[in-house]
Amino acid sequence: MNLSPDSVSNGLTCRAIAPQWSAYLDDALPALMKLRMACHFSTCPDCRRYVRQITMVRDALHMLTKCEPSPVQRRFLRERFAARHAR
Amino acid sequence: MSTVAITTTGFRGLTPPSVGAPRRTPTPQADQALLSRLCAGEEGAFDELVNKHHGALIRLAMGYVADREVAEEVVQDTWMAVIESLSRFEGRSSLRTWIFGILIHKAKDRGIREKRHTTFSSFEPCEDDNEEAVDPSRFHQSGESAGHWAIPPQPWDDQTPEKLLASRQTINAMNGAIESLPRTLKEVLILRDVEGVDIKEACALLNITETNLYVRLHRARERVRAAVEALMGKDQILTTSSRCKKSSLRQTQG
Repeated sequence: MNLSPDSVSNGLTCRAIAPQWSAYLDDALPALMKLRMACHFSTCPDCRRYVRQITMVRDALHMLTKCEPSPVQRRFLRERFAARHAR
Repeated sequence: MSTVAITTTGFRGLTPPSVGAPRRTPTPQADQALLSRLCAGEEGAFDELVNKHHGALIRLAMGYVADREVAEEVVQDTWMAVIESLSRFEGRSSLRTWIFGILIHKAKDRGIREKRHTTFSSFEPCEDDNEEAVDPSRFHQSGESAGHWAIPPQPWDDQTPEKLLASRQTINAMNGAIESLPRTLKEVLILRDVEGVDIKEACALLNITETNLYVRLHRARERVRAAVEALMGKDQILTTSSRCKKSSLRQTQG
């Protein structure tokens, strides 16, 4: 059966689906909605760009340098941990 | 007009490139191995645990309390509670979820105590439930194109996450956007994207539905994306203007 992506995503607007891309990326949407969004994605270069940017933000966030405890804090916690286990 | 074939697996060739977040939830075996080392009193294992989660705990705590100093205290209290009750950890959730649960409980308590002395609005940006994730003015409001992009995302998607993070300005823009998120958006973003907590675990920790979690998560991601876009747009304007200046200088010199 052949269908055009336009006919499947018919009625979806970029604005209506914009909030749902994160759920889409996690495969957390009902199958029909997912299919309609995939069709919209295939025909809308602006939404493709938007999804690429959201994906990039998601991946970059995980790579952000995490702040570490100060050496004083670290020593304090380590000592408390050791003391707890010495009991 | 292009056509696509529906197959049992969906539309061939039309799936967005990056479906499915990279899974970062520790396996039960990894959790169990770390727990055994912790219970044996191995200080290196405790260091590992602190290094892994300290930053996210601070960020999360800052959603509940007024300043960094108090957030540091809350996180220290959390680690003390972890040390004291590690032997009673029953493994009903992952070790990480258990630690974050303790933090949220302590940070809420501390936040409530602080609010007795400070008005809530003095440090908590509000989240409007009806607010759209993407600024509505970026879409056509009427006509044939109503609801489609009027001001589409500015092009910076030729970057990679690594390239983005190579720029101090971008890191600052992202951190600034995270810091200014309302607590409800910040906690979801930190748990899911910074820490990689599983969706079900995050929902259980925050006591929200999956639908609610995705609404918040997308709003939060969009605010960070918009911050990067604003920065990249500024860079592009600067690049264009410096190119124009150079060209007019060449013309003057020529």
